[in-house]
Amino acid sequence: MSFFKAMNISSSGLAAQRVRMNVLSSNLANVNTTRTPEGGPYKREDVVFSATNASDFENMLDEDYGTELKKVQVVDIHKDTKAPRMVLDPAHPDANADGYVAMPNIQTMTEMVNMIAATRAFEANTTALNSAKSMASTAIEIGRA
Amino acid sequence: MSGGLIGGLFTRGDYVKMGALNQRLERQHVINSNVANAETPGYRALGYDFEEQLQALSGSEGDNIPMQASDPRHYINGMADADGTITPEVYLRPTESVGQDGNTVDVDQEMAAMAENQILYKATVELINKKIGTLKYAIANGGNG
Repeated sequence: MSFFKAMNISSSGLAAQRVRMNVLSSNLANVNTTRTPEGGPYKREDVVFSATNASDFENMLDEDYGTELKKVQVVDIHKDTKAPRMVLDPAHPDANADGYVAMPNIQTMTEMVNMIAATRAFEANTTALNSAKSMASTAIEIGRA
Repeated sequence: MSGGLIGGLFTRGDYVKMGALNQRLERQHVINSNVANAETPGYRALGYDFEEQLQALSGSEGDNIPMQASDPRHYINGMADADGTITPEVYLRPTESVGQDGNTVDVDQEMAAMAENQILYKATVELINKKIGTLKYAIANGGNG
């Protein structure tokens, strides 16, 4: 069904933005985390989006379209390699010999701005999905007059 | 479905309207693909134009003009012609705004195009419903004259 192709594309956008929102929340939650399973302070994470072909098994037979249309996919969650922020706090249990603590290099402002962008992108995809949905329900009304 | 009673009930204009619905749906796919990839690095916005071809197809205002078959594979049938003659391409849309990441999607532009597409889709369905309503009226009340 052709209507669902539009909805599939938009829902891939919704899913991708939700993953991004989760990652941003994780960054904000761990803004002061000095201990991680792999050792050292928490490292800021970022999503990597990639456009993938919208044609799946269902519409592979439909050769006219689907090759140019792209879904979006999160292909990687990238760890920031920037050096940690060194904060002087000799009383902290994780302070080094000089009294400095390695803190995650997270700018709260950057994360908040990204979060706004993710929210807006999510809303845009919701609108696009609703638009396709409304077209589909209009089509059902054909001949009912 | 060519000729006979049905061929007389539905005019060329009606088949053009039905073709237009399919084309609007395809445009919706393209818009959704653009919106989903609004933040994918390197994604180029796609475009989809069919109005000119549709206009050429609907041709003169007069209805029931016999179709011209310029190729043996053409069907002389309103539906096949309205659908088969339009061959729009999904193309990379030239754009003035290229983001730092090479993405050329302008979400505002897409939202406007989507709203327009949705309204015109509904309008076309409305027109088809009017036609069907007229036929129903004739079927139900034609003999009571």
